[in-house]
Amino acid sequence: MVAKYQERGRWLARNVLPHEPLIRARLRHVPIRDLEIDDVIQEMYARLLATPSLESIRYPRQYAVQTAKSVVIDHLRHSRVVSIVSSGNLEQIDVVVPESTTEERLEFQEDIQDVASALAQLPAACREALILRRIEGLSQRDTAHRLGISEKTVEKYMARGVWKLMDLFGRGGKSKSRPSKRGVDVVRTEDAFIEAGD
Amino acid sequence: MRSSKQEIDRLAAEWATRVESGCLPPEDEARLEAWLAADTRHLGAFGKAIAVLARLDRLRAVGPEAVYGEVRSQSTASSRRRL
Repeated sequence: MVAKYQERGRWLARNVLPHEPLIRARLRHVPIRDLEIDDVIQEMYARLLATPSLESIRYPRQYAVQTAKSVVIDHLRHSRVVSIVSSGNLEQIDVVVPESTTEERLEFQEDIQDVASALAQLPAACREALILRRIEGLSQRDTAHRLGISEKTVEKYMARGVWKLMDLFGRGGKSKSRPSKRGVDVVRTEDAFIEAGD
Repeated sequence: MRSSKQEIDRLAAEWATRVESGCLPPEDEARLEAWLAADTRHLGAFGKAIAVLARLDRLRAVGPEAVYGEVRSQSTASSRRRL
């Protein structure tokens, strides 16, 4: 069981989590009664985690965006409220997310900065525990020894850190205010086509 | 009563940390599966929590020194922004 989740975690970390702020931004263009963006995002992760052949999906990032969109569509179908949202509005959710083959090194560099920026906002103890365990790769025991705390406390700090990062990664930190190197991410589909045509 | 998203995220973070630390006895594995099956929001939060840990793992390639350096420059930049 554990191995299955680890593999899916890596898939989500690579293809979805770094783009969650962008997907949220698109969803804000489609205000729908009784439907919160947090709920759409959570349902998107649930559906992705439950997808049987996740690893063989050819365009994972587009698949994630379409999954979020289908959550909205399903909500509209089940909702008794006559919605003013037209399918034209729903297209606003669509976004160009480059797949991982494009500019991989630059993308990884940005990922490091985004993660570091979120880590910088954590309480020091949570940050230390997460860096020692996950990035330095120390065992739970060695991490506890290094920090002079119990293994149980290491786990507690890590869990609290993960909890806060779930929120911080969703908001996207500073990457929004940075002059956009991945400008294509934030323009509308039609603008992207114009750019690409030049 | 619906539990809040915050509370679900907190529990998901705890489960993910335990799963990923490799210290989950079989009876807890069963408890986790039951928790995940109980509510699709649990599954979604858990998926995101394991993704958070996996995203940190990706940074192993650059090593802790580079990450500490980046964290320091980020904290300096944000305290400068606050001034």
